[in-house]
Amino acid sequence: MSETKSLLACEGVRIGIAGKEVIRGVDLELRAGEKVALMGPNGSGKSTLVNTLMGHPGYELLGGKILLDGEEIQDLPADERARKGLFLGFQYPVSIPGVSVANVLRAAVNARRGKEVSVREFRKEMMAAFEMLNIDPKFAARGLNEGFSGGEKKRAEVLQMALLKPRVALMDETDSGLDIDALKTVAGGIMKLSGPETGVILVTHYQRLLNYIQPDRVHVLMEGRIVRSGGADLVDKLEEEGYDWLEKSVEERQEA
Amino acid sequence: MTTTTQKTGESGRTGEHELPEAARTGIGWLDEARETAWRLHRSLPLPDRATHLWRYTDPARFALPDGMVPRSGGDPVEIIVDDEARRAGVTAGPLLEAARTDDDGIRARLGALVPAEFGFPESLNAALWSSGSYVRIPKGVALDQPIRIRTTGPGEGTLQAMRTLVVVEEGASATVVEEARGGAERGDARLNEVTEVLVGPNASVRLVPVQHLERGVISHRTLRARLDRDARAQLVVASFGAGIYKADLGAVLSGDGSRSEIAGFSFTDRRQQVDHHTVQDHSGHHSTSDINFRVVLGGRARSAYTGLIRIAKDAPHCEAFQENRNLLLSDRAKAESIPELEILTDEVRCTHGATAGPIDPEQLFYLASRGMAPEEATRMIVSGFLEETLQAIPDEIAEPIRVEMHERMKGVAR
Repeated sequence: MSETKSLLACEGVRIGIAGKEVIRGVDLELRAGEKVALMGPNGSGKSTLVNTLMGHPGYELLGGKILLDGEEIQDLPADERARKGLFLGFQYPVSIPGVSVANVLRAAVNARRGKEVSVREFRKEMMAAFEMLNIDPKFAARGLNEGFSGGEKKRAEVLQMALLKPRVALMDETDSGLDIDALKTVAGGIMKLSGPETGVILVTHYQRLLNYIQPDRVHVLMEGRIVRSGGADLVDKLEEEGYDWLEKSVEERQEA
Repeated sequence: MTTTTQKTGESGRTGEHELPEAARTGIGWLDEARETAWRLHRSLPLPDRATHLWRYTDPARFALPDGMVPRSGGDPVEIIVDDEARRAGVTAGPLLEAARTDDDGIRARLGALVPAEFGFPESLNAALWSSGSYVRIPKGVALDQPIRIRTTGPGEGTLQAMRTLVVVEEGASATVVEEARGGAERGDARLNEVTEVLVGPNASVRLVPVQHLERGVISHRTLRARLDRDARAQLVVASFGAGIYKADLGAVLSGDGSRSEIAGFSFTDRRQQVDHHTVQDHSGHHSTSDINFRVVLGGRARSAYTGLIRIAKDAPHCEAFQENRNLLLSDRAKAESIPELEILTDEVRCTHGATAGPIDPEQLFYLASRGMAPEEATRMIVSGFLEETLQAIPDEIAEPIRVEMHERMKGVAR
């Protein structure tokens, strides 16, 4: 498998919310086997970008293309994108009261694979994923995200990633609200799930998660644009100096 | 026999002065009571639309239309009770038969909770009920299997008035499922049902009124359960069918330490109208009640829910909870929800809450991001919405409701 194979690409993506352009031309590429970090201060548009990549109907694609495995997907609804192997781990997963974790997982697995997976096979896979993520099997019967702690919600997201085996996982702030043990478990899970055929985009504004998952590339998003790209060393620089120095360079660029 | 027809009052109802011949039973005391009820019914004006109970549904729908005949002959009721219950001394049979022999003092009990004076449709019921059921669970008898009362709805141009009396004696426990199906698919047919339930001290009853009536049926149901000391009643109400369905369901918590629970489910679509009123009437000390009513609406369906909590002045330490939630699957569907509180004492715990709205688009997006098509995601969210309430109900009762809900979801017009 060629390491240059593109899994996900954004070309000139511009996104509007309620008439306001919040992503103002983003080019991004994710290749097979890569882990890319998307960083940036609060409000820089990181969540907007990944939600739009997934197909959130509330965000408007004003221009540009989104390609999954070389195929344009920007006109497809979210469920079709998901079945093609795109996955979003939510920053704030909603609860679906009365619908158990196991029910959602089973329906999702069937949809992703395009066939009914037998109950036995499904349970086996679910239990293996529970074990990997250190989740109590009783979790299966609970209403999805209903009364879950912050850590449980994030684990449930990674759990779904584990069972759906996406081609591309967009993990939106999967590290926020986690204590150190939960962070290690979640990071370990993402590491195990990101093989040579898979790509992961890690959205975060801290370096914490990136201490456990070494990114191949780092992009910094500010005011709707990627203002800096680099290797893992960029994370350390951001950790030491924050985003201020980049803000200055944005201002300079705008003045120029 | 001469037949005279005249307009009465403002209601515009017409009909005979005399009790219709078909309504005569040949049981002296009962026919007397029916005559009185009939006269009362004829003298009552239609309820005022301004009163809370009738704000949402036209009471004229529940009057006996000109020329419509009460159903007679061919009993539409089937009572299913197992041998074990029979051996334990349980009575379950036609109400008229029991009235004829005045078993267990039925005469004194019939109409004790829902008399003819109760209201407009109830007076019509008292005069005309033609079939019905009487169930008595003797003292201390606990039944495992439910008693089932199955009713076939009225055909076109027919009024069917039915009555059920359930007596659960001290320390006894039982489940009674009242299921109405069928009836006219179009045109005009009327069903008028009254159920009275007397729950003795420390007795426990689960009542399950379920209706899957056809769309040509206009149906009114009144149910009251009176709870003695430490008695318990659980009502599981499931309303799926009928063109217009209005129900007035209540627990009279007159015994100290008594407890009632109502779990309600309604699923309506197209142009169906449902109107549920619940009553939690506390006069016993330390009595508790809980209502959780869930309504799903599609198409141009209309739902009204009014829930009354009444706590008497000399009934301290009561607890009453009420929740009504409505899920709208279509922007043309409409749900109203009105809580009513009459709390005359200070020492109570009482909460109520109501919501009505469409499915949260973020929930749909979440499930879409997991590969689920919009129809599948909607089904899943709706079943979860109902499951929250269904989980508190034993499986043998919950499962048929679950199955019917899933069936209905397939045909819902968005």
